[in-house]
Amino acid sequence: MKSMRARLLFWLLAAWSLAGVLAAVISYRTAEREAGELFDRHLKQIALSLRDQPFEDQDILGTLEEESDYDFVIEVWDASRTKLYSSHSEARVPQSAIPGYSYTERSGETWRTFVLNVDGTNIQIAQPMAVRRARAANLALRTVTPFLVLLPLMGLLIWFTVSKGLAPLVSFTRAIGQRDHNRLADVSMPQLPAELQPMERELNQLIARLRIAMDAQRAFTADAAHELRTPLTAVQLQAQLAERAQDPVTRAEAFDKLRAGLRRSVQLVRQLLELARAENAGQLQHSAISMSELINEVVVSLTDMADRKQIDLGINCEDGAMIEADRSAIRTLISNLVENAIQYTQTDGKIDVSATCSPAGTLIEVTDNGPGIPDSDKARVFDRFHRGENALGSHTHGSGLGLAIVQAIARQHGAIVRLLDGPSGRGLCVQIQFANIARRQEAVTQE
Amino acid sequence: MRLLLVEDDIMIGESIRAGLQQAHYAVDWIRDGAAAEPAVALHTYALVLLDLGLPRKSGLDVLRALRRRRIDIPVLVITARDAIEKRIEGLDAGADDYVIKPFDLDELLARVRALLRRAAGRSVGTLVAGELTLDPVSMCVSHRGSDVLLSPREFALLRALLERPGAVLSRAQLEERLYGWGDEVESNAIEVHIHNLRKKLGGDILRNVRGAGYFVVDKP
Repeated sequence: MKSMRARLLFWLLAAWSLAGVLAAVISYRTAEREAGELFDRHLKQIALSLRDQPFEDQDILGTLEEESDYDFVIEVWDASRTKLYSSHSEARVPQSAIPGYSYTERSGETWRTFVLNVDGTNIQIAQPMAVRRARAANLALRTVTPFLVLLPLMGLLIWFTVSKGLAPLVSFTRAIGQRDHNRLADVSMPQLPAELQPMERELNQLIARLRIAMDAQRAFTADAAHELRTPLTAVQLQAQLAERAQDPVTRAEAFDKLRAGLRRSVQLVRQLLELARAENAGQLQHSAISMSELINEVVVSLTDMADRKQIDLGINCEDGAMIEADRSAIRTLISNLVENAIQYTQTDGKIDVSATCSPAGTLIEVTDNGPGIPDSDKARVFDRFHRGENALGSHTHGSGLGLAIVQAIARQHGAIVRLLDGPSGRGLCVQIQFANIARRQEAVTQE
Repeated sequence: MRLLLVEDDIMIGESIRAGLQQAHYAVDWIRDGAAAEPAVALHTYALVLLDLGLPRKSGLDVLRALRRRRIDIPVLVITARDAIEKRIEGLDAGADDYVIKPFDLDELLARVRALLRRAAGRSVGTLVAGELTLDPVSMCVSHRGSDVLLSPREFALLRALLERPGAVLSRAQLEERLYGWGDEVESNAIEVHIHNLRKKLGGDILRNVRGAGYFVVDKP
């Protein structure tokens, strides 16, 4: 039974019926007991009233037979067990020898008997128990009748009360129904019953969380659309300039620039996807990763890019450096760090990528001797689309997403990102500290 | 005609500069907002192309600062924000026009021409003095009904003089309008261009006021 209304109706009516049955049983029992005493006295009185009767006079007793029918069976016998009188033609009740009250069984019927012994003459008055039971049953029936009569009325009453009680739930439901991702206002219903208030509170907290998430999503989309305009503007202008080029040399140059613009657009789109993926924690697949292997792989894929700027890109990894993480996420993290370093380091610069282990965990470092990031700017460079101030002078087209991606991936893995000045006070050293596996799990659960 | 381009993005800046140069404008390009004001104070620009998303000092702040100092140079705003409020904000801050990224180079050039025209108090694009006409769109110059072929510098010089026929521009003013930063200016370059123009157009159109400069004769 799914409906609360039906369930309440069922159980309340069941309880009502049970109460009726209980009342009937109790009144049956009480009636049986009280009627028993009454009838017993009755039997005795009849016996006593017959004590002085001359039993030869059958006429007087004959009328008794007519009136009382089977209610009473009167039998009188003398000391020699000769029947002096019987109210009914055939003997229905066995003669009891014991004076006083007793129960007798005869042809499947229980009888209540009273025997009075007067000078050897036994007067026995017997009454079938069925009579008493019928009387008690009758009483019980009368008790249960109002319950039965009132049952449909109770049903209606319960139905209406429950409906009225559920009305706030209905309007609450309607209020929730009016919300969607564009209208995430708090649900506020002043007359909400106390039982629903915790639900309202929890719901509003959920709505608040959703609102924050939606706002972040909207801001991200707006930012992304805005950021995409820049490389697209460049591409459009470059294409038009290429179209207009008068001589082959200018045209070739224009096409080179157009290609660079396209590369940049592609890079932005790729990084937008990487960031979106990094901010969605649900899809991680953890496995044990050898850092030296992964760093080798990333650095090899970026040597062309480094060579174009004659940057000396080197690796220094401990063989034992292992982490438990999502391989493709960590690959994205490292390649963004190295790409960033290549982009912002001047021609002939130097970049070192290292991985070391300590009892605390595995530390990845990417160090360059580029312009570095001033302390005032260090906190903000993690904001997406924020480009460092020192990046201004350089001839780069960073998307401003690299460190935001790094931060998001590190957070997913419970790792800490630190921005330090380079070893000689120049350049930038980015540290990613992965806690050892046990600690990492702690950090993740704490979050 | 010398224009100031304030745009932080290298690819876009390079492209706009190249496009403007093809239309024979001299272009100074700076990449950060803080440098814009000093540049405007130091040089005579016919127009500023101002990107709003600049590092250090936003384009809007630059614009407000210029207008506060009552510098009424035409400003064409380049913005990536297409929300109406943003556009209104820009216009209210003193922008004369705006283009939204991504934009078409031809549209940008047309808006530049329109702003320069408006600043010169004209509503038709073609510059005219007597029988001499110069069309900044098609970059055609004709004199007495026949087309004249000019070099880019000659074209720019003639355009500067034709902006206000009858008004005298000194050699320094002409140099200022013709050459951007880094352009090599020979000491007698203006005289050479004037000489060449006189050869192509006839000597009586371009006049010299000794010690003051050059002007174009308005009425023949």
